[in-house]
Amino acid sequence: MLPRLLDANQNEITRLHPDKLSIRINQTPLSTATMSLPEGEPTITLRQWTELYGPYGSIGKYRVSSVKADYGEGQNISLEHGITTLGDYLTAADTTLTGTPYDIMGTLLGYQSLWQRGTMSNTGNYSVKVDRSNVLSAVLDLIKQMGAYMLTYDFSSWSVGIVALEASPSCEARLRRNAESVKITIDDNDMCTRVYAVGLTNGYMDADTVGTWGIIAKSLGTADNAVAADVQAYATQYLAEHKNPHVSLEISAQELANKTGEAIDTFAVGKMCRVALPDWNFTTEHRIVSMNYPDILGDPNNVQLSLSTTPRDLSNTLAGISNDLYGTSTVQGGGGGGGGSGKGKLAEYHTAILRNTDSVDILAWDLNGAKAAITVNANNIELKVSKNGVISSINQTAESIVISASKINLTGYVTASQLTAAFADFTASTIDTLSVTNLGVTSGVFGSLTANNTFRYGGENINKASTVVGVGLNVSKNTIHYDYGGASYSVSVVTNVSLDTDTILYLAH
Amino acid sequence: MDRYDVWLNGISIRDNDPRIIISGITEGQPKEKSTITYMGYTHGGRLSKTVRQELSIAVTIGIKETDMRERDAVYQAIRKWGRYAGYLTTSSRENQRLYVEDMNIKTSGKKWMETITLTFTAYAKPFWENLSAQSASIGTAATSGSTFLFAPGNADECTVDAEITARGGTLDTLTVTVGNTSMSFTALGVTVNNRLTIAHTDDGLLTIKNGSTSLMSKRTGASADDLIAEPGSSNAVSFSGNVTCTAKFSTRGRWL
Repeated sequence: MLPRLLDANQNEITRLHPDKLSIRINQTPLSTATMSLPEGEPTITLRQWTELYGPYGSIGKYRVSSVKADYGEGQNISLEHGITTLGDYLTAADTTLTGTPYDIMGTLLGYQSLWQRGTMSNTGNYSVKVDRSNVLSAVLDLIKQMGAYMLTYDFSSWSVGIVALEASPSCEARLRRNAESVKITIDDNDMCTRVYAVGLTNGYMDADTVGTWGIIAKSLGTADNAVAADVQAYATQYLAEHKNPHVSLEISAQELANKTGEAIDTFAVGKMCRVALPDWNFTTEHRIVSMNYPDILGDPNNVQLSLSTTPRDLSNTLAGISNDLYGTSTVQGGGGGGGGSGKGKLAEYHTAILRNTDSVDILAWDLNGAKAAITVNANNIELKVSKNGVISSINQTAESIVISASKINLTGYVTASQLTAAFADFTASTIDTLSVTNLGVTSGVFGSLTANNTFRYGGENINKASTVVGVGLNVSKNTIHYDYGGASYSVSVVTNVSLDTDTILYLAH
Repeated sequence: MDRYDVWLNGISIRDNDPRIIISGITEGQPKEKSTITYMGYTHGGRLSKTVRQELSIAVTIGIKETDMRERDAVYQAIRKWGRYAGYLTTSSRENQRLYVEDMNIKTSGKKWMETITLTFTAYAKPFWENLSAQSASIGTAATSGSTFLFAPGNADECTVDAEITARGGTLDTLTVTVGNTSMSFTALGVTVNNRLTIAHTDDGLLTIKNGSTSLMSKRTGASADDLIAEPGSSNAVSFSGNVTCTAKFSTRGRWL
């Protein structure tokens, strides 16, 4: 069926006749479409509404998000699913919404006027922190927390609902039936069979696949003061989602349901799909997260399916990171300084950027007890690195910078306007002027050495009144010659010099 | 009877008008697509698979009518006769049929003595199959049984239909095997004296039903896509269920 162009009251203006219409339906909003209209079609304006149709009827109303007019050729139109309007509105500032999905959705939809609550699964209690975030992202935050649920839309009443995703497959793809090609990618990105966190028994928890895949450990990065039961539940959920490799499938398929009438031939996003490849002895079940109709008017049964293992797909991860950036995450910083603003956080990331009420944290940590953090608040920047109890830090305030570490290495030319040190080692150093109160050296070579008070050689003191040592004293075999004031004396006549076989002793006056 | 004749869904082209004269039936080379991987080290390629995509039959006719208006009426009757998909049978392939989905006429048919070529093309099943199905039955009710089914033809493979009738109670679990292919089912719920029917639509799509109720979703994922026999030989066919059943297997074979 041709797309319908609608007016502001959602009444049909006309049917459109695109050269080509591509539609991408995503489980996680937004679904999008692109349409090229030839010359002669109505001029489309930004934010105008259309209704699009798929193989089984209407797939909803889409709003024009961009128009590229090529005069003499036509128009290229980009469209977004109607739920995009939630993104036009902001929530309240710094508010945490708690309650059932019905309660939270009621509050969130109260920030705008177009959509209302539809049928929704109303189990469990959740908490969504909002802070002038757009309503759509807050709704997605709720859906993300709920797990195996997705949004549903009814454009006749402009209601948005929440429905549980099916757990067992209701459609099937087979190469001898409705699949032209199947591409499967299996990778170990984000895979984890063991998690470490404070609060877990023995400090860690294993997935039941650890025997299959071996130990792939990650730290949950939970706060030390997190509730043990929460940590336990989170670890269980985390392992359930990450204990197996991430599998994604791209299937080029044909919609056969219109021809066969078989429910098993009907694809839809959110559905669990069985991909049966018996010729390869391979069968797998995954959820359809995206359906792309590259040419729904010219080849309406041709659909590209994207299936994924779990909701921990890219959009989910991005949503999590985005939440961190915009302060709606429950993740708690470990870097000190400003710290986290929440009650304690359960983070799944090895890196995190956290915006708290009064500070920003940048964190990274690994499984070996190493953690690095930068915390910035209005009065302080703190860099801290710790590993197995050894901590170094740099703390900067307006008045001072404190560098704390077991070792500090300065490489290069160092200047200091003032330096106070408890102890220092110098190697190959040149000192123009050195005032020494007490100097201890094991060996040294001096061009000249002047002692203004007492010069002590071994256990003997050489007083200031003594003559300069070394001048006029010559020693040769069998002879000591002391030249004092132009006179030369043999050893036997030099006063205060005595000689025996081993020692020459000069006795001070 | 003329030397040649052509039927579509059992209706001869000459039933449209006796002035139609068939002058020839030509079977073209099937259109096939081969997947070849060229090997850098061996200076050659590896043929992965060859898929037959189309099979066309050209029928040349003449219209024995000099009046242009009359000729056109006959011509339009032929076009209407060949408008829809159906089973084509010809005098050159006795006892065989081909499911064709398209008839193409490139000439106008308006000129006297003009030869008109009708090209019928099969896409979904580009192979000839027997008009009559070959069948084998297991008539004694048992929880399992086996027999042999001869599949006519000379192609690489052909599909097999099966009917499993529950006799001893409600049939819930069932495995049906043909040659090297096997389908297993769970939670069928086929009550006594009702039957699970594995069949194929005209364009080759598999159906699995109990009466009008689809049982496609009851097939396990590890099951074969289809029940496949080898033409030109007897194929072992069998079933095994949770209650006693009788069974019937059938195939029309497949010809190149």
